[in-house]
Amino acid sequence: MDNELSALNVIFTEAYYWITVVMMFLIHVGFCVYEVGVSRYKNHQHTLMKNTMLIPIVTITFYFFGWWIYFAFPNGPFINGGLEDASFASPIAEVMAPNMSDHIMGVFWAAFLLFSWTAASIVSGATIERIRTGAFLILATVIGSVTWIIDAAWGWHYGGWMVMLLGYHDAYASGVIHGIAGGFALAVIMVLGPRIGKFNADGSANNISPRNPWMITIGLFLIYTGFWGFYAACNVPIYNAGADYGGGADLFTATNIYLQPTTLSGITINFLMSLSGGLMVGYMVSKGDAFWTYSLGLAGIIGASCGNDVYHPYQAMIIGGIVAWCVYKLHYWVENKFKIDDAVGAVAVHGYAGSIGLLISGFVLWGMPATPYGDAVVTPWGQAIGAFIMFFVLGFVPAWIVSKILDGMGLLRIPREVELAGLDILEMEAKAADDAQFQKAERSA
Amino acid sequence: MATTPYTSYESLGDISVLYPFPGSVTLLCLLCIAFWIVWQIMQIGAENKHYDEIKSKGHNVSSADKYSS
Repeated sequence: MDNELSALNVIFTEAYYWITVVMMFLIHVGFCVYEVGVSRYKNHQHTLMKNTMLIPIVTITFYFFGWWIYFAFPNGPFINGGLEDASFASPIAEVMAPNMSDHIMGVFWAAFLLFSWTAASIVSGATIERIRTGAFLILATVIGSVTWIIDAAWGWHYGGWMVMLLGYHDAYASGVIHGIAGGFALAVIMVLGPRIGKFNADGSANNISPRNPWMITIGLFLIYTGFWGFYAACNVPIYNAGADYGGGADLFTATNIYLQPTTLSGITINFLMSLSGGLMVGYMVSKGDAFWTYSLGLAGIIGASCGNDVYHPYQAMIIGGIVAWCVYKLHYWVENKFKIDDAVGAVAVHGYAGSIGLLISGFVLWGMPATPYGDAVVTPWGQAIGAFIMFFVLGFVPAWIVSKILDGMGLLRIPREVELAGLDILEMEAKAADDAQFQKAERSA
Repeated sequence: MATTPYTSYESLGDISVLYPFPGSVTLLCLLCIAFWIVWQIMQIGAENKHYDEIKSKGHNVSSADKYSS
């Protein structure tokens, strides 16, 4: 940074990612508010703390090994080459700390970390009111600091093997975050089982109504707000694509994570149009239900996200609407057919939406270059295989294995008596005792 | 004596690492990993104790009703 222009470029990029991190923090605030709104009164505190404590656990483990995985695993390894040298991203690397020779590593790490929180938090919602916090934090570490970042190395990296060999394209993480988190959540809740009382003896489902629909509303609005930061964080804000691969002459542009050109302006329109498509269909299909209308707005964005770097806004809107309809129908079909208790619809809104969006994108983007650094193009089969890898191979399978192990050790599900009484019963009892003592003192004063 | 690898800002271009005790990072990393693992084990222990207490007090599905508002 020995001249003003290069300093401006570096510090602009540093500030850009820093702002995305602050914005993305709102996603987690939203998830916490949302989950408390869905949970019953007797479980509020534990529901909140379960999701809150993934913040430190995923943060430190992502620092210990998650970040290194991203740079070491783009080739598989051993699918399209060996293990990459990623010593610069190790937990003892000099640039992973205040260092005058690097201004970007920390904010870039943090942007990815906030994606890790999101992936783990999606799983959190599906498992509320019956998973043990300790088990959840182990599972959060698996998805937040291992499996999602492997999928990012494979399919969300300009040199990832899925990009180079399959032509996988997933600009704003339909599969990379939402597909994997949905698949992961599905496996966990299959092993975990439904909440007591969710299904009757004849197999019919009971609706466990959200305790506070207005908290859910605020939570989902916060998630929408943080999603802007998520989109911005998926971009490289300024890159000399012209000199790198675009003919040799300087041409600076914003790019997606694959270093393909896009514009912040274009993705802003597409974000809003896909949200609108999801909200409009969601409102109609759910008959104006607030929970589902907001959730399907989110599903609309998630479904279009893989191609929102290049879609026309009309395409984004239509895809958002189609995905929202499919998600709503699939959620209830799966619930009734397989007796799956997905407390917040996370598997549907994230997993099905991301996967269906990827399948659609394979047809809409068919033939588009998937990378500036190779010959791979986007195809329906490349996107379908990619969706399968995200949802099933890296989402469902690891979660199933770890959940089975935890279940076998008696560490996965809370005891039946505790579930019936409520996770917060001791805290409620203590608070009532405190209140009684205070009121007694107040009256005698 | 200084804990940082620099003692002035006169040659700013030569400064890279800003944190103190730069030679201790590997040891600190191992300590932090150990802390994480111990914390996770202690959390599970505390959770077991919490559940045992709920069960020992004989709470049931109606217990929360008297505290709900």
